[in-house]
Amino acid sequence: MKALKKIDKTQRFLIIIILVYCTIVAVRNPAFLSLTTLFNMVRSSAGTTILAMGVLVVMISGGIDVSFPAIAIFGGYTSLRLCMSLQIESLFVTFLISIAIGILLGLINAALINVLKLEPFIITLATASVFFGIMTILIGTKNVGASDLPEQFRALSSAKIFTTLNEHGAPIGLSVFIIPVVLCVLLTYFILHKTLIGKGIFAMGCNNEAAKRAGFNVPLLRFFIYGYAGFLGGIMGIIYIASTNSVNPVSLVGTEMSVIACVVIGGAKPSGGYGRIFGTLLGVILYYLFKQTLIYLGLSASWQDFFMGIVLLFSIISTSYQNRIRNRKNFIYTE
Amino acid sequence: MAETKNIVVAEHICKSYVGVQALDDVSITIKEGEIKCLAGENGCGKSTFVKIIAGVESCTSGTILINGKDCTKHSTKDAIDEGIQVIFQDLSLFDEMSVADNIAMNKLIKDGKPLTNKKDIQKIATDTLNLIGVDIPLDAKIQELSIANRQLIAICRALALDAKLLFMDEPTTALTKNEVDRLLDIVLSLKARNIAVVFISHKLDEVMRIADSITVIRDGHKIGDYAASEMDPHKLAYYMTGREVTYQQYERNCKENENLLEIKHLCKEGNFQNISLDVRKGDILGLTGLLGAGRTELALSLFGLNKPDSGEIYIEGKKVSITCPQDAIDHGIGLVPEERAIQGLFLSKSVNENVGAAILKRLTGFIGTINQNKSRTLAKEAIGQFRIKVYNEDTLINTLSGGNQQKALIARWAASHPKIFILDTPTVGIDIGSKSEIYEYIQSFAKQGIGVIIISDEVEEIVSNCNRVIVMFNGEIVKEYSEEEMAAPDIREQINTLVESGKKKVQEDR
Amino acid sequence: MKKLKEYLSRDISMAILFTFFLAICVIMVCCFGTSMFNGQTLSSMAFQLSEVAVLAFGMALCMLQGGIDLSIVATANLSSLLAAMVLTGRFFDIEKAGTVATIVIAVLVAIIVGYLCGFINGFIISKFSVSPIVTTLSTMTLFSGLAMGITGGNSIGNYPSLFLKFGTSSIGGVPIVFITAVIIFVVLILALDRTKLGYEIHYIGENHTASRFAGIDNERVIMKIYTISGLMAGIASLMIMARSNSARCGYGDSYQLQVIMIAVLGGISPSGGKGRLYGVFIATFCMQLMQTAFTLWQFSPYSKKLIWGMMLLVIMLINMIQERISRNAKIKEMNAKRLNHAE
Repeated sequence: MKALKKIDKTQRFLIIIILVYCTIVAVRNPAFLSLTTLFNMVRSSAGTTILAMGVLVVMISGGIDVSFPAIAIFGGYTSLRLCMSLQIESLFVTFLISIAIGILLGLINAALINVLKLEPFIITLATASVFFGIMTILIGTKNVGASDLPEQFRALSSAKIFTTLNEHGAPIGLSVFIIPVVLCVLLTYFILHKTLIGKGIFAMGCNNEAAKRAGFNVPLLRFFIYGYAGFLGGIMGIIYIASTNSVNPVSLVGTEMSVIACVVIGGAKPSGGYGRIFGTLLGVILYYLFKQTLIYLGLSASWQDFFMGIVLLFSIISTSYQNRIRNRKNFIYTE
Repeated sequence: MAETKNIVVAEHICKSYVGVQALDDVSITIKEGEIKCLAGENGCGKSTFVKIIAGVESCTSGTILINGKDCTKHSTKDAIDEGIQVIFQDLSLFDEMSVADNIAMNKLIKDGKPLTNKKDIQKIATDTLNLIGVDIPLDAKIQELSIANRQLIAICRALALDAKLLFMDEPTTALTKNEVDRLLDIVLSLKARNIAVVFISHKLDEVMRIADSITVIRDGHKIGDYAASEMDPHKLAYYMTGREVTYQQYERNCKENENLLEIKHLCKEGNFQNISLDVRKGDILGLTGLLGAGRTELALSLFGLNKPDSGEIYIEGKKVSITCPQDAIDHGIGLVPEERAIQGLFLSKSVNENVGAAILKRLTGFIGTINQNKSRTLAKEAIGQFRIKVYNEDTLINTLSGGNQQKALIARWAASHPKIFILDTPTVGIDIGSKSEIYEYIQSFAKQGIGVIIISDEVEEIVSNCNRVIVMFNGEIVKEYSEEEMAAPDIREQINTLVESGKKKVQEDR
Repeated sequence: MKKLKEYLSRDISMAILFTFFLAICVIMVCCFGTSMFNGQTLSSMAFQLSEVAVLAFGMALCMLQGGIDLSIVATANLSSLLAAMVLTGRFFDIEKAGTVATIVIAVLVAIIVGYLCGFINGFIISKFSVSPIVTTLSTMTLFSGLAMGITGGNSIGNYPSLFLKFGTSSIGGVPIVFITAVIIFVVLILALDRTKLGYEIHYIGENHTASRFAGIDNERVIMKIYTISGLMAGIASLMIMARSNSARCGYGDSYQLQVIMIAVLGGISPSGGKGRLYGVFIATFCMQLMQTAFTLWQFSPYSKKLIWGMMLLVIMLINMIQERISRNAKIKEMNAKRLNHAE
């Protein structure tokens, strides 16, 4: 009961949407309700979930980051190519390279925002192209086929936590991707709710000036926030590469909107100060439901962005409108 | 008695912003266990001084010693580490976060423990709330609280850790007498623990009872340090304003007596209840009361920015509905808003553009084009008429002094030829010279037959400019003084005590 | 000349832009000789720059008010796709309707779709107080999602040749699309500098609370701005279609960054309220000159993006430094005045 109380309105609303949608899909096509669908969704949504955690943290702090796909692919692809040319087979080192690059790029973002003191959106929009451009110049954009992938990537790709049989008797398994996802979610929860830094992130998003006055070192916090987003980007880069059969370094760029959409639908305030991990997870679930099951409803998967857009608009309108009414009461006029 | 230590020694502090000299050569020393009052009118630089000591802003020149250490270029964190806590005027709370988080925040940062624990946070919060004896749910978000409760939370936050020096920047503007009394008791107990407290205020009656010394600042200059015992309200007012303030009282001599504006039973939940008043041609009606009394809220309702729940507004006998500022302007209402820089001025635009902003409709000609010559002529006239000190009408408004900026704003609305002119705290942060000029203009508006409403918490301003006065408290009209009553010789004292007794009345109700 | 100098010293971001423009021209002449500036290259540049310029005007308008329109490219895509469907006879039989009627309908469709998309943005921003970035990011997803859903990602091409003439023919060596862009530019400049709406946009960009208190209907003005921006997207979509003879969702994704960069380079402050449209047009020329050079140098699209991103950062850095210098100078001047006064 207490747990239920903690779920806010947006989340309740999302849960209802998800349940209703699942019911409709299940009625249209009973094959939907199977472990296979679930396991598939877990596997394919892993990368997005990790990125969404980074976006959530940035958004709570009142910022926005659109450079994370570029960071992820920069980290992942560089790591892949390095491993290929240096014959590195350790999964740990693979992750380490990618994460190090991710953190570095995140710190660059933070530094620019600290210096230029402009809308983080425009700055990360610029750095996204810069990061991606630098990567293509330094490393190239060569496609890497599945057969050329180093051993550790293929192992990561096919590893299962456990395997069971589906209703047709074929073996299906829960991908090992769930482990980094759970770790990232827990780590984000820990940072946001159990540390002083987390309090600082929320405080910054509520009122940047007041956070400064309370004694938080806001520029330093910003380094942490964007560095953390970069860190998650680095992890995601490796998982992304492992999850696709043929690595095309260009493909990930342009997916930033869907991740941001998940976070915003999950109830995080783009103006900062508020955001829930649970809500974000629901947002990701909804996105992948659309992505994987529209086909059951007889619609092509190309419609998913449209449906996502509708839910997104609805969710931003409802939260912002409540804010507007409250602001009007306090004589703050917003357009 | 042993030599007491100086906590803060600030010498020759200067601070300039673009277009404003906020502080000029101010030196202030704060001793351990001292209760000091930093007095001055609004906008005189008191808050800037606090921000500089707290490390929020850095001074342009001067030196600051905190606990004997040179802290001239210190950060907020340094100030907090040295035991300085500030309750800022804007409270600086975190709206989306819980009461408990807000109260505990400063202590958490001071302790610097990387991990936080909900139990600890709640304990800190309950302890401090108990200290001042109020009961506010710990899980509530700040944005759900009233202004008075927010002030209490801000006070709690500063009290949560053992500071050596506590600044309170106008902390009691929305508090009831009981709450203020309790706060003053706490301050005395802090003093007993050798903690210094600096009150920043422009209304000192409450604070003077417990203060040891008073430092007066006027227009960014320090006027002097005085022992509280040698100070009385009259003297203080003299030091704060720089002159013996006696203005000629305004007398209405308009023959027409029908109502220009009439409000009947206007209500807005949470703002004001059952407000009825009327304004005739040539009236200058004063609206006074504490912060949160509903004065500004009422003005915004008349200007279409705060939709009332019920009640009627009549202008020249006709019932009108005002849902947006455009309606208000069409009905001949002008409003000089409370916050000049935020609500009034376009700071990086010229005087010409600032003056013309409210009369675009009149300047618009064929197919929506603006008649720039007309606008220029109007601006030139305004500069002459209101004696705005500028090079020409293309001068940027942010290079002007506060007084001249305000005159430009008044010119903006005068150009719209209002029938009803509302001025919300029109002389805050304005030098004495411009102040009396503005009074002169206001009175001349009324003499031309405009109905004027002045909102102010300076009793002197109200008494000398208004022929009728309404005192509000907690959203209700407590009393209306008629022209005859205004003629009473002790009218200032009457209004002052009424504000006070209005407070008492509501306290009994609680 | 002296007048120009005076003008530039007053408006520093304009001065930077001019220097930049001259520098690019000089560099281009050094690298490619005067062959760069012959009639043919100039006219081919004029073809390409028109659509970007029109999009940049829309973006600049929104940024002047303190907002941003990230959906502008998605809007252009959606309207070009719907117009393309009309032109290729997906909705009705073009044979029966006749070519001219079909083209007229297609043009109307493109413009109306742009208008509606812009109106949706404006409505959400002004009536529900959603921030412009979030609104237009969301509608970007929605519009491009709709385009994607309708077409399934396929491109639609092969329009009537009469329609293509709009994008490919010139009058006296000047492309029609360029003339269109110039006309739009002149109209917008006049509207911004001379009309009530223009004044209101500047007031709101400077201080939206004060404009409200001055009786300006912020909500109505903001709706108009975003609607105009949508209209610009609709017009640009026609230019793109007529020039490239195809429409595909995802076309011109790189325009997003370019258009923002042009606006910022043109002196429109990313935090709103400052800037002139003249600068935006000049900035479009700068961008097109560079674009042409990159093509001659055979840069990959990714390196181009890298350069656009870098440029955006550098311009913002220059603006910041310049602002800081001028602010310090002002304070110094004031202090000096004060000291003189004291003596």
